[in-house]
Amino acid sequence: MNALVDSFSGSLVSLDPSLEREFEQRLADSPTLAFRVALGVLRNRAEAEDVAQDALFRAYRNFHRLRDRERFRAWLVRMTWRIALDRIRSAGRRERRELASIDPGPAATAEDLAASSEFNRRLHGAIDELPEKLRVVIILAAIEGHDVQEVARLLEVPEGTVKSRIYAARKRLAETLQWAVKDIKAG
Amino acid sequence: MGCQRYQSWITDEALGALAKNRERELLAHAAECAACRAALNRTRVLHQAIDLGMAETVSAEPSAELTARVRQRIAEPPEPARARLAAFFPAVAGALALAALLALWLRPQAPPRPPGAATQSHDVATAGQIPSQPTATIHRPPAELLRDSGGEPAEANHSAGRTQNPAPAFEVLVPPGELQAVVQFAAALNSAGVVRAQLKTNMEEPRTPLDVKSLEFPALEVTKLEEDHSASESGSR
Repeated sequence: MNALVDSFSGSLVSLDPSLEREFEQRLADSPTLAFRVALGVLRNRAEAEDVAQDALFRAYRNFHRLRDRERFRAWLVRMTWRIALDRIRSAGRRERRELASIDPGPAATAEDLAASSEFNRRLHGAIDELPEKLRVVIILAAIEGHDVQEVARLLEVPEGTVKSRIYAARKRLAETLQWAVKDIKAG
Repeated sequence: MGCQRYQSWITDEALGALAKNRERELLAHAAECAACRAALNRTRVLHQAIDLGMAETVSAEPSAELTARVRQRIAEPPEPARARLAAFFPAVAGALALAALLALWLRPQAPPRPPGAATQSHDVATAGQIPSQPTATIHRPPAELLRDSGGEPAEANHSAGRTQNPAPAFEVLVPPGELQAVVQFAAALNSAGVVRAQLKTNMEEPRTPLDVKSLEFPALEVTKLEEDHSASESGSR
């Protein structure tokens, strides 16, 4: 009985050599994607690394079940997203920022504003308040090198859907963060 | 003032979603209207700041050890399944205990028993004791429970005999759904309401051979067809 249990548990985490090689190729260019998706949700480097590691390990464990290997990145994004959300829910915390809340004063340019910790804190709060469909789109679109087509591929939705969701998400964020630009005069 | 119609255009322009002809119209208006120019500038700065902030949020690189840690975790021996199951053991044990308690609490109650049988619970197994079994065990031969039509009650004889030589138990197979009837019958036996002689007579009556008599049929009267035919013709004339 014990041998049977051990052999069953062992079979869950061992791939055949061809799958091992294929997964190794995926592992070479996927950690950054998993890490950034987790960071977009958690905004904490250490936790994002833990989640990315967990997601990649689960991807390895279930790699043999993925029939269409071209969907690996989309699959990994979904898995990472879920694990990151689970971590937030299990921790039950809302404070995920790493930067201190120090207001440097009124900002005149977008760069100054983006460098403001208060602005970032409120931006992250506004992102957290977005519906999940809008949130995942705005985070994936913010990752370097991700255009509408890539986001649509990762989420496996039409490009038009991605465009409309990005538009809706940015509009909501802007409405929430209007306070930050109330003192800016005409350029 | 035509500024009202440009409010939504300003947001769309900052998001890059405004049609070209409208964009030209908006910019021409903003060149003349200070309020709309300021609103356009604020909206552009805000959206650029949002984009920068979003990019900053997800622009970090993972540590160089991340891939190595994933490989290390993959190479680790798998956690035995029984260890994972052991984590669930307290919950499973608790659930089983709760289920057992519920089963005891919800089990079918014994039907109300006749007064005579209530004092002799050792005689008859009730439905409450064996709810799923179609058998009932009666630990006393019915012959001892019966009494002759003119004799004394069997209970007196039985109680004397039981102390010296206990009657052997026997089992009665009861079809499902008829246990209640058997229980009532046993209760009737216990309450001395059945006369043994009469019961014996009733039980033995079907065993007597039937008196077979041959059937007698009266002979049929068959009339000749020709006579009938001539009689019918003379009648019709």
